[in-house]
Amino acid sequence: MAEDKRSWITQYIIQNQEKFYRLAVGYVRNPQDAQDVVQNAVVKALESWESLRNPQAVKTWFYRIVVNESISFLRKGQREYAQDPEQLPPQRFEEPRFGEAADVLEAVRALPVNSRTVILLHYYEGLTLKEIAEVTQSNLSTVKYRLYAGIRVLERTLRTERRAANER
Amino acid sequence: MNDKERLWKEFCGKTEKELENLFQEAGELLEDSRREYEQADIPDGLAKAVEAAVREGERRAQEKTERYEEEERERTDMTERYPNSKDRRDERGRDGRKSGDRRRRRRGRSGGFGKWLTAAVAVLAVCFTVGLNTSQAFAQAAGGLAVIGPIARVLTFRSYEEETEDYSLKAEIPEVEADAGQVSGQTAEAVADANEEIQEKIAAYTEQAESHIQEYKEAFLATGGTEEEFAAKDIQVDVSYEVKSETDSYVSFVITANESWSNAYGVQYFYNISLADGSDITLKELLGEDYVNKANTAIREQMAEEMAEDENAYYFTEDEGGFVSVGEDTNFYINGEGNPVVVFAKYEVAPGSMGTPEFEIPRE
Repeated sequence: MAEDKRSWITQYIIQNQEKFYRLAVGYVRNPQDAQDVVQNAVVKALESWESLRNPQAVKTWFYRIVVNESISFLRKGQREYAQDPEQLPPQRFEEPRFGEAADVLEAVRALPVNSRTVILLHYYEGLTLKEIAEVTQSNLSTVKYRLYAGIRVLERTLRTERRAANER
Repeated sequence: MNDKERLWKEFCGKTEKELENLFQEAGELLEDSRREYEQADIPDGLAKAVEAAVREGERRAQEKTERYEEEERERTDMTERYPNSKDRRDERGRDGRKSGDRRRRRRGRSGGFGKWLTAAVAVLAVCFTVGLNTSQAFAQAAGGLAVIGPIARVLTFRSYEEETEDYSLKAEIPEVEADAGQVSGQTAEAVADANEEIQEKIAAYTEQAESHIQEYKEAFLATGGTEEEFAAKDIQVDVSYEVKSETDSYVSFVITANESWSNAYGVQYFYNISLADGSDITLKELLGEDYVNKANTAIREQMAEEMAEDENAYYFTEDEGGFVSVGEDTNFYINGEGNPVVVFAKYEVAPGSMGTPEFEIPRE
């Protein structure tokens, strides 16, 4: 039985790996970093697969690990940069894409991390707010507030951008 | 009023229905960007990378199971705190799992993932052919585990013995292992920091111990002692730890370090780590706002009681430099009942013969 559960988790991870990768890119941007985040998350998940008591919860359980890994990656990055800005690894720049959809996505990726998590998971990954509360281990009204704040910040960013574009 | 407060106030002024509508509208506006999001280029290497990570994860799970069983065995075997050291060494030898293994694995974990990946891909072909057997072994090992993994536990990270001509060193270094699937990222990070701090403290302690012993030896030889006489002292440096309690909400443990030749150099480090956020649990959290009075009363009562019952027991009075009051820095651990136990250093509140006095403070 234990073996079943483990191979089932493995299967779930392999089938959904692209989703997890896209989510990680929502945080860390750089493709190589995102791949590292996914790898770390997979290792951690399988290392502690026994902790998944309810197989139904595999989705929120694994999202939680990916989100935690992503955020901890960001924090570590900040710490390193703060120590020594000279030592920054050269960032690989993606080819700039144009068009409104790309701008909106860019604005989402620039949101404060808590709001970003809710927006990414709700609108892009299709999780319910209740599921997101499980992923982030916070209560439902916190999730709602973060979503609300995220939408407001997004609106403001996009409005400013548009104004700037019109002036040009 | 700053932005955050303003947003919060706005949010609180909305009805559920208004929020729902807003959330839905935002969803429509974000629809195009969702497609953009879904079109993210997937790197060619992702599938391979995930596959490699799966194998690494399975390998670690197996190691963890083995380590878990070993720890359990050791805990049940240990009837005394320090069994005859020779036996202990033999047992480790038979186990074939020396401390070095752990150290190496730890490095692998904290080192760059990139490096690890190259190695993992290289051994993939090998893993594949033996995959069936190992997963069978794994299933058996996992099947032997009756309980579901705890959120976090305190395990021996490294255990080693060292002998130089001047002294012998015995160390058991703990680490807290938190389950990534069950704790928040904040807790995981705080736990990693605590583990690092433990390593550093113990490294600093043993280094200092070495220099103390060196000084002592020089003084000993300068005042007419011989090398043989010094060696006969059989000086020992000892670092060990004791788990006081492990629950779903915290772990509590104490690290004790001693140099056998001098009482002056013993130290204890106390760790009470909350698994909700990784913070250090305080006396105030356990006993409430009035924790100072509560703890002081309990300690004074127990001191008086002990002195009344045992004529050899003695605690210094305040004038003699004895106990005055607990404070934020007071050392304590949490016992099996969930009560804090305040521990004083040797000589801190009583003569050395009293050892390191402990006082349990009931929460109610």
